[in-house]
Amino acid sequence: MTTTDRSGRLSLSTQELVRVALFTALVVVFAIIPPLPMPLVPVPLTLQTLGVMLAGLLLSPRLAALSLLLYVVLALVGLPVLPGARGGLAVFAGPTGGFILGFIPGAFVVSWLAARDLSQTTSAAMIARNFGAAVFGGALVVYAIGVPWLAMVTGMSI
Amino acid sequence: MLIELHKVAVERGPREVLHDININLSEPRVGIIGPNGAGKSTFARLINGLVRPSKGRVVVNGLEVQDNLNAVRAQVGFLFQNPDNQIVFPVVQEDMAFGLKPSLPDKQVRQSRIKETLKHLGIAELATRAIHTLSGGQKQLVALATVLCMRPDFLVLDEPTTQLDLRYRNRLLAILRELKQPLMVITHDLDMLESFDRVLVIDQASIQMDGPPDQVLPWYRTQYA
Amino acid sequence: MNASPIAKQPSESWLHRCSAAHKLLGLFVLGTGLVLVQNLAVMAIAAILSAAVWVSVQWPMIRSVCRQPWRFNSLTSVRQALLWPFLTLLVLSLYIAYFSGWTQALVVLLRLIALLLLALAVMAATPVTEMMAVVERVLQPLDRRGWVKADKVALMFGICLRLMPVLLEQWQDIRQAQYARGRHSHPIALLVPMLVRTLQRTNELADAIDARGGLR
Repeated sequence: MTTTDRSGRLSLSTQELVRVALFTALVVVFAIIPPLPMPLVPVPLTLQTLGVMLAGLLLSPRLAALSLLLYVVLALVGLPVLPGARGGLAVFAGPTGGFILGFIPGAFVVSWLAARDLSQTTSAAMIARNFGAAVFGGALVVYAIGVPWLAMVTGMSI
Repeated sequence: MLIELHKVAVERGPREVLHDININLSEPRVGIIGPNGAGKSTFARLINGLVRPSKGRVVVNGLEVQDNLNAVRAQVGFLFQNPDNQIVFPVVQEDMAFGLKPSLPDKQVRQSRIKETLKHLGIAELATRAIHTLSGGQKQLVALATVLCMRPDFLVLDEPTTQLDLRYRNRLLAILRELKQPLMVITHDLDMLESFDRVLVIDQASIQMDGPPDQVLPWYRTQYA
Repeated sequence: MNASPIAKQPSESWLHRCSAAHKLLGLFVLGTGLVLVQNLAVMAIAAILSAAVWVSVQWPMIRSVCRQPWRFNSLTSVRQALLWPFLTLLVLSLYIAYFSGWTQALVVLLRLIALLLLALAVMAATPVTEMMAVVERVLQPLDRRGWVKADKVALMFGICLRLMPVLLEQWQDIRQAQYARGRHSHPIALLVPMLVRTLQRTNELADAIDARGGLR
């Protein structure tokens, strides 16, 4: 339960803190397990993006963003938490850096858009909404950060 | 150390996990047995306030548990069944330091307490090891160290030997035998309880049998075989 | 950087002796500069200088790789580490060449190479522990102002690092259990047990932390 302590700051409860850390670890695991063959997709994909979407679907917006922020810091610091057991500054110096940074607002948006109030919607509508939220946040928002970063780093106008 | 449960009931949704429990525990070695899912773990978690009673009161050494969670938890150490879900930092001495920081702000004092505890358990060499490189038995001993280093007055252990091989089971039991603190152990390992002072059987939300092990254990073995 | 022999961090170099703060600041300043400049000549010089920096930091590794007999095995790992970035750069350059001409493509290529080599050099000269120390130092003033509780952040990092190998093993256990049942799954089918067990761990870990006095 998120409480507001005396000074007015929002503080994390134990449950929330643990959940954030666990979801970060989950994203790491999904990112580094070897790409799996997916049905209907010709190329093996990493589950990293799926991990990001799950964090968004199962955490509140604030916690989802925090979880991915933790992930980005782990990668920045040099731990091999990116696909291919990669990590460190070099990844962010390259073209894919923006996409990884984009996970943070991406997870936030997924969470924000996903169905929170269960009483008003039918289950089909809820699934559709969650799916839409996952795609929008997971893909579009990430690209909205990743592509300009790519453009900036390469100096292209896109 | 006196633990009192007055008219305690624990409800989870429609189900009553524990019903009208009234008991006082003060023996140095208490065992809790019973079929799975019967409420043993819930019973144990009432003592340090991880579970809140729906009815009644739990009192530990004169303190109402629900009103004095921090104080009670400082006195009651709890060892969980799975050390992977108990140890939070990746390196042994880091995790022990986490528990000690609030009460021992001085780093030197902390370090010596850590060393002393690890030595007492015979795992001094594991201080700088990464937890995931340890065997299950070593992890459980480390988990015990993280609890013992805080010098609790009372220890609750939830199925401490269930995931251990024979060697580590014996090692753990030898350590428990030597501990000065009173213990409460939930276990399926009936042999372990032969030397205990009191054994409770929890089943169907209440205490079915309560007495010394030489009475309770044979009864349990025939009833629940 | 890839967990390959090429990525083993050297333990000593001139860059190691600089403080982490300087290295990171320098990287940031140079990186920004590189992104802003468009001149081909300048970019070429920058790329050469960056290469020089990288080589100077990684010299021991380069020397040992060159000394090894050229067995196929060692070449494979080198190939693996370099292949994907190389391909990406190639595709990118072709794309830019098509739309903006070869000069621009060359500028971009040199820029990326310069950025990459500088970042790799700093990475090689800064162990993870030093980087974590930087993170701590950044958090301290925020902690003093009351915006962030450094203890809680440290605990989150701790739990995360602690649980990574545990969750990896959990995933493999679930996969094996499904294979044993003859189901050559479907990663999606593995998701549900994975999530359920992970959420269970959340509860147990939170209990364990609370039992030891919780967050204070």
